[in-house]
Amino acid sequence: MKLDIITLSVIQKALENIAEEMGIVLRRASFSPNCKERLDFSCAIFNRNADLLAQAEHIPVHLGAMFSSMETILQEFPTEELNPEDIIILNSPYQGGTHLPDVTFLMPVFIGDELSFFVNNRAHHADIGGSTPGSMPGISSELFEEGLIIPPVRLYDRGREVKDVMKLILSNVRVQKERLGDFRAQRASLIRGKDRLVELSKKYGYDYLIKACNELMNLSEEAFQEQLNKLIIPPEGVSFHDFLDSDGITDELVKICVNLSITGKKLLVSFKGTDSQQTGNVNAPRSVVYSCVYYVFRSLTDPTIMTNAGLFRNIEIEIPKGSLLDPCPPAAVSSGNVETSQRLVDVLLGALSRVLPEIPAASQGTMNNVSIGGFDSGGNPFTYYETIGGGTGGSMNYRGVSGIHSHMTNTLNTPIEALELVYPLRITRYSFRDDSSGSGLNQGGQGLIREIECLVDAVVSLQTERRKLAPYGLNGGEDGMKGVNIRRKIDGKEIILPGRAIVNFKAGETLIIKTPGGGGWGKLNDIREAT
Amino acid sequence: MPPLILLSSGGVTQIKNAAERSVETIFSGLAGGVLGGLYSCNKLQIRNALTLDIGGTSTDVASIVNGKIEISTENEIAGHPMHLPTVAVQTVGAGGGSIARYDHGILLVGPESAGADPGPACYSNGGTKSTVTDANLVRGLLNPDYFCGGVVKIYPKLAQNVISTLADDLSFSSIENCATGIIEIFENNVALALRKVSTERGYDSRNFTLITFGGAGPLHGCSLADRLSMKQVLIPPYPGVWSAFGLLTADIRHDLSLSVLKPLNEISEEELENGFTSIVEQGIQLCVDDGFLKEDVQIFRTLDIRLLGQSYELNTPFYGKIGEISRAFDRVHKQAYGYSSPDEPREIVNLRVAAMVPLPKFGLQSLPEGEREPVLEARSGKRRVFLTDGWQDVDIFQKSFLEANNLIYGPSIIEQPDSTTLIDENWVAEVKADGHLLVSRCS
Repeated sequence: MKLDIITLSVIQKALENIAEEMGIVLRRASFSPNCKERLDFSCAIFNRNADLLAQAEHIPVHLGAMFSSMETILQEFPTEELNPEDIIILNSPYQGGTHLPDVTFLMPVFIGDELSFFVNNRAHHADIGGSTPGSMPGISSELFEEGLIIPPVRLYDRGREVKDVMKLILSNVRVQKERLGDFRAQRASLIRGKDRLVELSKKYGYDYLIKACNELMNLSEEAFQEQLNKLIIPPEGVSFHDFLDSDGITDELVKICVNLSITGKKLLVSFKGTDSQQTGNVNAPRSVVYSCVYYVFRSLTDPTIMTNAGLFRNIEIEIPKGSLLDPCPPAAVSSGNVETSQRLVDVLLGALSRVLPEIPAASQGTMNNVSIGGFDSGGNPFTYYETIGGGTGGSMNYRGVSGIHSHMTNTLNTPIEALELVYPLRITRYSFRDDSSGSGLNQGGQGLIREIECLVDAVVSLQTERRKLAPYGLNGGEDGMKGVNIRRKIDGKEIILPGRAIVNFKAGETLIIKTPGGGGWGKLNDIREAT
Repeated sequence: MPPLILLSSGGVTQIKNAAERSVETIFSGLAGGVLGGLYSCNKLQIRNALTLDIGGTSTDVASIVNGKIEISTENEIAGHPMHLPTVAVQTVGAGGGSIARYDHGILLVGPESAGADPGPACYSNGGTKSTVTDANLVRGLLNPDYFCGGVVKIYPKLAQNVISTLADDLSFSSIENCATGIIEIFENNVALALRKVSTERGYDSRNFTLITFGGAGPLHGCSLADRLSMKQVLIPPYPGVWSAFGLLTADIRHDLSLSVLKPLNEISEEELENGFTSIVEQGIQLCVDDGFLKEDVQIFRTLDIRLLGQSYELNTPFYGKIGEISRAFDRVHKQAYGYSSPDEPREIVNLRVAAMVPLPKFGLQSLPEGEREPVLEARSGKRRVFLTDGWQDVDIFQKSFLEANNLIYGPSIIEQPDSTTLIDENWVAEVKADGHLLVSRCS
């Protein structure tokens, strides 16, 4: 069979559909609100060489991370040691993971006797053990505090659960039943993906299918190249820098620098000049940095182009070893994935704004991670984890959007009804935060206010950013308003909490999170002058 | 009988009820076609079918399982959840007017559509882009002098012009190959939607009949059945207006529900029965208020159940005994997700009741009895048509002259004012007494 454009178009659609269907199964069969309501997971398909073939674009921060986990697994498990229906589980940030709550499942797919593809999914679990419920401690200085570290190991051996490993994992997490349910949902999703790939290979023949996959990667590479050709970057490149508020342990700003340049067909992204690795948990493993770079360039390329390894083939990323962005174990990383990633996008877009006027001003630049855990009135453990939306930046043609997640996360909110049904918490306010957006020709979006009353004593852990430095405006637009975290005591007295904190709340106390607004784009005066 | 309004659930209701609860009518447009499909199923005693309604801009597909329309309570409109019983329809942006465009090395068909105005290029109404209908015309499948019974004039030359430009851009060896490619991609998109309502829900499409209608449906029936390994295609007597016909077959329906949210092992059979009794009485009263007799009301009971901790419940048939309910739920869970967890605790979320009153049905006029061989008048010559093996002379039949028991072997085309049917090679159509065409693969 020769490769023709029609079959190629059909196969592209089929691959995308398989990744999407894997996500539907995972969502519907899962137990934790974080999976089933907020869709905090991703699904992907790889060829036997670990090249990404298709990914359902659920969570951007999983984009680059999925294939770094592939590399590690192939190092740990040579292909001849893998059998049909094996499932490898992992979460170690130093072996292909991002932060510990993100648990990856991977299954080899055999066509006949031959290992031919991999299907892979990654879900953010509401708890994976460690010092605080939710495994997102506001402050931590070693990976060991952040939860159970799972290197790549078999959780299913030829389709049979490896009971010892499962027991070991479940004994180290807070809500065992929910973890088990979500693990089963992750497995069901992989099996569905595997079945569909086997069908597809049967239909077109394995060799033909692989040829088509290679061609699809080439097409994505070409599309990326087209986009790159439009970028007029001076020989010395374009640079930008911005800061994290702190690492949670000291009060110092943490600097992130980037320089973008083009050599021949390659885009070079260098993070030279970035601060070295920190004591607190703001360190980001390489896979997170890849995700951020891929996200930014993915969103600049035509959305009809397929997301696969070809799209990113000509991006080279340079990260100083031992820096914030390539830390050495056992550095703490729990906030790298959720907060440092947002600042990485801010610096990448900032650098691009020097050559592309349509780049928007900074969005809220944080995910406002809130974890609350403890025991309900019946003595059962509970763990609530959620991130909260804010304003996005204004841009040349649009105003920012209010109260949504931006950039590296794409989750929904936990509906108030669902939250109050499951947890001993009560939402006393959920609204837009007036006047929080940066003004400008096109103003930024508004932040949110979410007030959560604890109905029992609970441990509150916060990882939030943009509490000290505001999201930047562009082209004369104003900065967005900084975020604030507040503890309201039972007598009504309000205490401002730092951006990163672990605090014991008493029953009846309320946590108030006011999230940042987006930066504005363009000088406001320009309108008046024009009219 | 006063005028009635069709509901998303496939029932009809009095205008005053629809005005009070207008949200129940949001998806009614999709329900008509599925009702038409159900009517066809009942006529031919078919238990399992997929309905396929191909229109100008979109295609709607749904499944009928064990003689029942699939109803879903999880729906979304414009990003907002709508948890009301609705005929479970998948819609895909692919229809006769879908535009073919070449982008970054890939040929895409739809979701952009030329619609009815300007419509496909061949309508000569200002359309300048290649559409599915243009591709079908280039392949000779449509009769330019008998489109819409000859009321709408279509121009093969215009279709050839636009497809030929696309064929040049894509370096196709011929314009026919390009047209076939457009149809291939279009049918593949529709096949993915058909899978969503069959295999993705755990149904084996091989044992299902494909019911195709909408103006463009019967051209693609055999080919789509091949893609899903289905053995049988059913074409209603009036495919182009079958959704409209379907809504005339609807019954009076009131849906009621009662939220319970209680673990299954903590609820007694008596408690369930009492819960049901309260909403059953309400349902009967609503039908009586509509002017129907109490004894004509039919009651259907179901339960929404989920594993304790899940967020999505599954609609499960109701049996009086808790043990049977529990086993029924395991079957539904396995069907939906590929596994069941009999040892896990489960909870009842809602009790649901549909109160229905059957309305009188229309009959279809019977065709005269005929032989296996159609009468001579039914044949209106041959036409050159581009099929898988290249150009072929294909027999053309006029539907209005066909009689019951006629057999029409593929490749053949059957024309009628509201649609055109293609019987592919290796398929044979049997004309049924009420005008349905039952098309089967030749063994």
